[in-house]
Amino acid sequence: MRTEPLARKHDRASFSCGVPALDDYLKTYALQNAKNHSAATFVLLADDSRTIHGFYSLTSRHVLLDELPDEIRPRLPKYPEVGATLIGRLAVNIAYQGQGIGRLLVMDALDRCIRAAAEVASALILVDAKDPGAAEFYLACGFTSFKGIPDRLFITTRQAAEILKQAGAP
Amino acid sequence: MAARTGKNSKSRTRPRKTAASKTPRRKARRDRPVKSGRVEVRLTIEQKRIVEQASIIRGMTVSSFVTNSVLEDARATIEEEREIKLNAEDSRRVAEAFINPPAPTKTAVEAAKDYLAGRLRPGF
Repeated sequence: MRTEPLARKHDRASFSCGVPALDDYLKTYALQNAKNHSAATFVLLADDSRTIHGFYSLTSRHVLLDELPDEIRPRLPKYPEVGATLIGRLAVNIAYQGQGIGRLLVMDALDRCIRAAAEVASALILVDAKDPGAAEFYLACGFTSFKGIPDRLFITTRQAAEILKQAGAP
Repeated sequence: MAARTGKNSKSRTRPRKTAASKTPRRKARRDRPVKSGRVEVRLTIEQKRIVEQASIIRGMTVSSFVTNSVLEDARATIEEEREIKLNAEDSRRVAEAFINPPAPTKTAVEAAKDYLAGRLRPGF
């Protein structure tokens, strides 16, 4: 089971995850954003290659670190800006919820972030957890929450790579 | 209209249209990208007058003045959205994760194994 980039042939119209904003994003903006390179959307498809079981989108961000304590600063890169990849939207089709598709999508997204980071420097992976079930899963996976940004968590690309490595990824 | 002033306008320094400069300019025009996109905006008479006045000051057409200003603001907006400023506490959390990365959790490794095997397990 692997995701693929969202394409016109996929059945976006019948997708519903229970959150109108996410459904609307998939139906109206996802393809448009892929075309203008502002966000890439990946879908997990049923055997019919049309029905969407779930999706997530990736966008690039940069994170500006505030002044750090003197004991930490020398051990980090001089520049206070860190490249990051945001898993901005992640949703599972309501008809297939509770089967573990969410966790599969998260791991698939981490895998893509790690591979992308080999080409474009991205030291952090950010996620927005709008769903309490998702937030719980991210924390259990070792993500750290932000105090100043509600529902957003992060993990370093290195930590994510270590997870995949320990699971036996090539 | 939030008219951010366009400082990088090429049009300002471009020579005025004269009979002598007509031929080379037409040639250059052929290499320019086709502008088939269109944005229509409704303004009050007063707003339009202000835009026209500003365009005259810059020595630009209303169209290129509006294009320049809006593009500059649009790019800044996109840039702003891409940038995430962390407070001191969150910066410390990120720095900590870089310096002392915690070992992968059991939940994470198990989920990654299922992902690699294409195996579904009831849950999130």
